[in-house]
Amino acid sequence: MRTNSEIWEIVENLRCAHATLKVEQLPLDLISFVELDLRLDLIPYDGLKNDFGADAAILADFSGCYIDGEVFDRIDVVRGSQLNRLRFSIAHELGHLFLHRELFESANIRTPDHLLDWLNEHDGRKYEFEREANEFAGRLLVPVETLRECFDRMLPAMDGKYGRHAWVSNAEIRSKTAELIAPRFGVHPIAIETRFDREGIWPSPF
Amino acid sequence: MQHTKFGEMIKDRRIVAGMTLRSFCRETAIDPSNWSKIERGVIAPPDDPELIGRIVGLLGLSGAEETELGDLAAIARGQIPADLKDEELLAKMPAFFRAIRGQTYARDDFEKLMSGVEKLHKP
Repeated sequence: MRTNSEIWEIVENLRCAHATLKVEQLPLDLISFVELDLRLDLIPYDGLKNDFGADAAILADFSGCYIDGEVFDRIDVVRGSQLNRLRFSIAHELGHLFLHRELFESANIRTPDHLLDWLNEHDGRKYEFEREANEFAGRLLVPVETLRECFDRMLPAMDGKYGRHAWVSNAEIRSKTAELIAPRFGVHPIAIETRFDREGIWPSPF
Repeated sequence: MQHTKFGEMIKDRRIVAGMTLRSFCRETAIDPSNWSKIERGVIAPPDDPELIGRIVGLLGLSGAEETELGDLAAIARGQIPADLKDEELLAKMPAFFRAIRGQTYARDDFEKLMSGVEKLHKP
């Protein structure tokens, strides 16, 4: 199991190594990162989402990533929540690439039955792997310093309007704040609320 | 760089030119799903001289590179694509699945998934 700090370090090392991931270029252009920096194939798979419930899936030989065909066809025109979801899904798959590739390869899968078991269970570590890939995706898409800057800029207005004690414990204000910040990063507001907690940005009411 | 396959050369030059698959296909008016298969060597390259000319112009290939591309295309068109072996198919399956519905996959789902993957990697 990897700690959040370990995952963050991997993300920040990647950010240092690739200009496409610099914080000056938010929301991140993950399609360019995947194709041009990592040289992975993005392969449209019709029905990936409808039939299997996934927007994206990294290939077992890590040469590419499947993308739901319907989304892929509209990749230049999708906006809003659909694009945010695709962005998070690709970032999540990159999490598997950078965090779990060796573990997958060490499982030495040689038969379809073994692969089916792996996909369902990940050798009993599915929840752990998914959590780690989500943490990777969140940190990648929402760089902590930029999030902190966005939040700090909103503080005086929140203090003035509500008073510190009132807004800190108010879930509605927290959601609204996340909604205002989310477009900067191209993610769902819930992803911002998660980063508030994980990065210790939203003050504890206690 | 000397290439041995048409798809590899195109992908390499496209990346050097800073174009994603979709942006390249938009500029050349090619279907991205088909072009993805061409770059991965699943189906044969086009033999339309006008299309090849557009690609050469877009990627800024030199005369020598254009000749190399043409040679590689001719070789690829003459090859009979091989069927995917079992281990090759497994290598093209997803390694992980972020199942939005949170479900596990039954054997029927898995076989359907495998069948879909196979179609993407054979002509």
